[in-house]
Amino acid sequence: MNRALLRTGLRYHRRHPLQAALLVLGVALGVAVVIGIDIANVSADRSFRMSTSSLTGKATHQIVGGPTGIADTVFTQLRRTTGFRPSAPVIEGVVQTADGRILRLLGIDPFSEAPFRSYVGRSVDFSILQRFMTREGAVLLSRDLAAELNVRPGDSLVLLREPRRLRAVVTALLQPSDELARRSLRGMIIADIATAQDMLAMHGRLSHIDLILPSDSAAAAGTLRDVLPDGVRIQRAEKRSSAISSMTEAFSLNLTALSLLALVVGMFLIYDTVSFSVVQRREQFGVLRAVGASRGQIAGMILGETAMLASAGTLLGLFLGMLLGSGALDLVTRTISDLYYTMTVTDVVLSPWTFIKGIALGLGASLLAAYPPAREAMRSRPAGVMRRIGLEDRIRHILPRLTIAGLLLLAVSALLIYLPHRRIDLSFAAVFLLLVAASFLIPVTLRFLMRVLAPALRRVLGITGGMAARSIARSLSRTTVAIAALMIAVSVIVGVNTMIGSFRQTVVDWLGTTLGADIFVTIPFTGAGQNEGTSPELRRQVDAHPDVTRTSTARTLTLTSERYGMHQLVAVTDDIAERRPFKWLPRSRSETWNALERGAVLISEPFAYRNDIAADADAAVTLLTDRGEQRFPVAGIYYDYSSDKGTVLMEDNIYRRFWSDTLISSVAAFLRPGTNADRVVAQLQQDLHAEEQLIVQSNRGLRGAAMDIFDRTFSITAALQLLAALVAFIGVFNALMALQLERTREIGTLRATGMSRTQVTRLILTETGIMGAISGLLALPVGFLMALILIFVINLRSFGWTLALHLQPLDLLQAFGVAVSAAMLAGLYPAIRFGRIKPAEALRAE
Amino acid sequence: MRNNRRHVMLRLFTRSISNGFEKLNAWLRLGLRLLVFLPLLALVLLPACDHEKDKPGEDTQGLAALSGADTTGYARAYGPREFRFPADAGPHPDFKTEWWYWTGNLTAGDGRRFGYQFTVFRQALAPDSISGSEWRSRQLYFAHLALSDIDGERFYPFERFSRGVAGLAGAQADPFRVWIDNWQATGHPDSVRLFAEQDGFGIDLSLRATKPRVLQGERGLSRKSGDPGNASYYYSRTRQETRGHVLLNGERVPITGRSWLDREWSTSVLAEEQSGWDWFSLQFDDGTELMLYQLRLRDGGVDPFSSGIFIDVDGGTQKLESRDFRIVPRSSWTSPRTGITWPSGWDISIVPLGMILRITPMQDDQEMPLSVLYWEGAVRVTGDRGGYGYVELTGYEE
Repeated sequence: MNRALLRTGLRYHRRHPLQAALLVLGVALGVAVVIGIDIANVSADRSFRMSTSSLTGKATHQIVGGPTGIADTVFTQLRRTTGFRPSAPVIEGVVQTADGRILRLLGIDPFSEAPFRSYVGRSVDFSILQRFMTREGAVLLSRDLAAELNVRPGDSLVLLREPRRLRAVVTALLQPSDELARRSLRGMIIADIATAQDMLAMHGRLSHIDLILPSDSAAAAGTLRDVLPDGVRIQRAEKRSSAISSMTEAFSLNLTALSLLALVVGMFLIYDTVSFSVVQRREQFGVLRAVGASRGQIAGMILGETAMLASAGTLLGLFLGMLLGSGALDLVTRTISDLYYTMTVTDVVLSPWTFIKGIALGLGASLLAAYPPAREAMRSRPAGVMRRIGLEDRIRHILPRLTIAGLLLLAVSALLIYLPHRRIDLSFAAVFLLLVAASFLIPVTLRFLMRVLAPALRRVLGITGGMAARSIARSLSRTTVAIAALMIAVSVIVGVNTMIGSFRQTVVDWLGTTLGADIFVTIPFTGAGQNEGTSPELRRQVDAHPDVTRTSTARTLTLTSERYGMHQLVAVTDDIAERRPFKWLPRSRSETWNALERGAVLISEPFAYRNDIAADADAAVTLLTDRGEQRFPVAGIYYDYSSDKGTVLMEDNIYRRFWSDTLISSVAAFLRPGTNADRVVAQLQQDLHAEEQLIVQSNRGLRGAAMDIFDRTFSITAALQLLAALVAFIGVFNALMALQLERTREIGTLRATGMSRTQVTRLILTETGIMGAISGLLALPVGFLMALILIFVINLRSFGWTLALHLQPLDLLQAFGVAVSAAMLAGLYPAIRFGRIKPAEALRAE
Repeated sequence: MRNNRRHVMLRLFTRSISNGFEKLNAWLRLGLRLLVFLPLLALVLLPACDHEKDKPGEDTQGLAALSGADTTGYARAYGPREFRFPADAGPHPDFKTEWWYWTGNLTAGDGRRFGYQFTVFRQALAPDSISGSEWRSRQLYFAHLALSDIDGERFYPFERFSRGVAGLAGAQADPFRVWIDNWQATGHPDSVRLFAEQDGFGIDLSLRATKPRVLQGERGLSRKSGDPGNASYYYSRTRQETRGHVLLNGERVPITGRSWLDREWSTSVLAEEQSGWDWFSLQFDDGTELMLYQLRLRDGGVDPFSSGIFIDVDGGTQKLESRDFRIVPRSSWTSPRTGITWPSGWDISIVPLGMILRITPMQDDQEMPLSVLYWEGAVRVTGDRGGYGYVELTGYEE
């Protein structure tokens, strides 16, 4: 690369700092969004794996049971009859500190731990062991966690295990030897198994038993299996974490797709900015060529300066991405904790791959964008380079090919949607293809529209209107990219908004038909998969209220099974959802309930979808109960949006028959007609609070709470969508402004030939306004198509939900408004500037 | 006597705990048989803890619970008591420490010889029971199992720990049972079945006592010092005919032989300076037994506290003072595993009995490389009387 030429190139940027700044900013934002999301995803995944692997330790297998774990006698049985030693009883639960910090409580047997968990090693003072085992509430914390909670050995620590308050005493601090242990211990409290049973009210129970089986594990597992009671099984240790991570996969894939969407928009922006800065300097290149610079040197100069600016942008992007990533991580882990698995430690993990990805994207996209103009500059003869008309000719020349390519891409996209598969990545590919196809089709649409609209525009807006339309059509090489970028940004807004809106409305409608009772009493939610419960005594207490006419209870559990992965089990005393919407219901509602009382179950739509359970009379699910495997016929498939894990709903007596569990998760109460629900809620709150921290909500309150979780889940989506829009906005702003600034000479001529300042301003604003309007208009069908794909294809393939499409006209109008105002805003600065300059100066500028 | 030796060990143990963790090494060097408690200290089970003395009250309290100074709440051995059986074969949970200690020499039909040690220890963690979870344990059990394959020249030591609750480990008098997991001693005080096995090695033995119990010390009260209560209850079964199998790499080898049992429980504390000991329990072919131990002092001398006992064919006993016998090591063996040099082979002369004995280990490597390090192995006796026995060596790791 010729350094003199590079300096020339950079000097140009020094003289046009705004342009350079926009290029850098564009690259930076594009990179930032992608690596921000990547950091959030990688960190969440790493934290998840870390918390599960540090829990699993070196265990190869686990003995697991039903929703409430296994009886602790299973462990005694195992040890007494087989003497099998690499076996450790474990109790696991989630507790909260007084200020809301969520921690995992791990109950262990110190005499069984040594082979299993790395942070339990080395030696310990006997007196600590003695206190750890014999003192009520004795716990061990890592030094780091103790510092964060501001406690020292001997201090007591209040822990909330809703609905109870627990008092723990810090017995000693752990000094973990390696980094992994140090990190995972930051979210963990260790107690003796007896203490854990007391704290978590799990007397007589264990969460699971860890095992280390020899490499010929099948034989070893076989001998152990012989001593295990029904309903208890041996599974590979990674089974549970893989069940959970397969659940979160769809979620993180969706996030990645959204970040790539932002990148596509970012690439448009980069392409736009880079190609503009090249095109605008055709004269400069012409002169350089004329004074002897070779084609290669010109191309090298363009690519070199682009690379330098892009590097600056990429660096800035990496930095911004890290900030963005730590913010996004909170949202991501919150959602994962809400829906799948309680995460206690979330550290930002910076993987080298994230950075490599970011750098490759930033530099790659920029150089890719600079390549066509560079080639153009290289190929033309010195005189030709000076004319933009050459570029416009080319556009006109390739227009048919571009259009055909666009139509082909559209067809491929449609094919990806219609092919019967469950690949989410392919579905997202279809969305991308749709967007690319739409932008390929923009030039032809634009030309057609301008031809049709020009007369109308002239009539409405006068001479400037006609001029504006023609000017747009004439400079397709410039306008297309800007309009495409804006169109894509707006269609993403339209698509994602419509999807979320439809989803929300579907859930609201569904809650309306499903939450039949007037008042709900539930135990507080401490995270997915906790399976806490409270005594059935609660139902009697609620029943005792004079205004309550009828109650029913539900037991809600998260199970992990070999067959169905992670899913929910709900046992109800009667179906409060009298109007529950069914996807498939072969019997009448009352007959269905009778079938449930005889041992049939209902399954939710996601459950049926995930496990390929067809809607026919022979359908059945096989669950591992505490009495061994049981087959339950399926009496219907119902719509359910409370869990994408899928739910099996059964009658309470059936559940109690097959599972040794007396607890309940919630009580639903019906009130005497005309009773003020809020008053009863307040009274119940007072009555019940004396004993336990329970949540008493009216129907309305519960719906609100449900929608809060819904909105929380989508907050990350909304945030990303906003970012995509921001990136696009800057891109459009950049492109349109540059496009206008390029016309200095043209404007000068117009001014010299008598156009007034107002007219110039109007011309420019009209032009950008038209472009904005076209983007907005084109974005509506594209966004709508995208919404359809998101709602009916991606949502179904990711989560198994059928959503109803709900169009929000106001949102569409708003999107259109955003497009127009963004475009006009971008035209404002050039309009004002051109309004000010004197014709002579403008002409001299050339 | 053996009980004295153990109480010295207990004293050392508790004192070193009071002195804190730093003294652990010193204590290790002092380790006597009770050093098996060491696993509790060097327990490979709990995280490396910071034991910050931010809360001195809390700490001293915790330490006091174990240290000799505070044995509050535990029963003490104040005077001789009536031993009752089968009750006294079972646990005495109100005392702090207790053990069932079996050793024996065995012969297979084809002449192959084996030695075994099987010991179950009970250690109280708290004087009173604690409410709440059934897994809340105030008793800790741990066991050592060692099999010496004399002809194979191999030695197989194992150990286990467990809380004494939830059926995982425990002891009961009637029917007699002492167990950790599936390692157990069951039956009747006079005829016990021992079963302990790990990784294809172990014992499955039936023991039948052929001589009466020997009550050690003063009618079973073994005083450790002039302080009342600083004593233990202690009896032995010095000769039990043994039949059954040893498990050698998965092979069940039928054997016969003789075993020795020591039973002791106490809540006592002493304080003295020893560097370790050499202990001998010998079963002669003529139906008599001899037990001797010598406490080695740091200055190289022998503690006058060392003593012994001779048991006649009919069970009559003769006590021996430290001045009554002399133990001279003949050679040594350096462990390739730990680098420790252990004495190997002794000449013992006992003046009042007019007896000169030569003791030879059945094999050199009977080192117990467990969470506590000691040497406990089968020996052959020649000289004025022939027979077999067991020797225990501690405190050689300097």
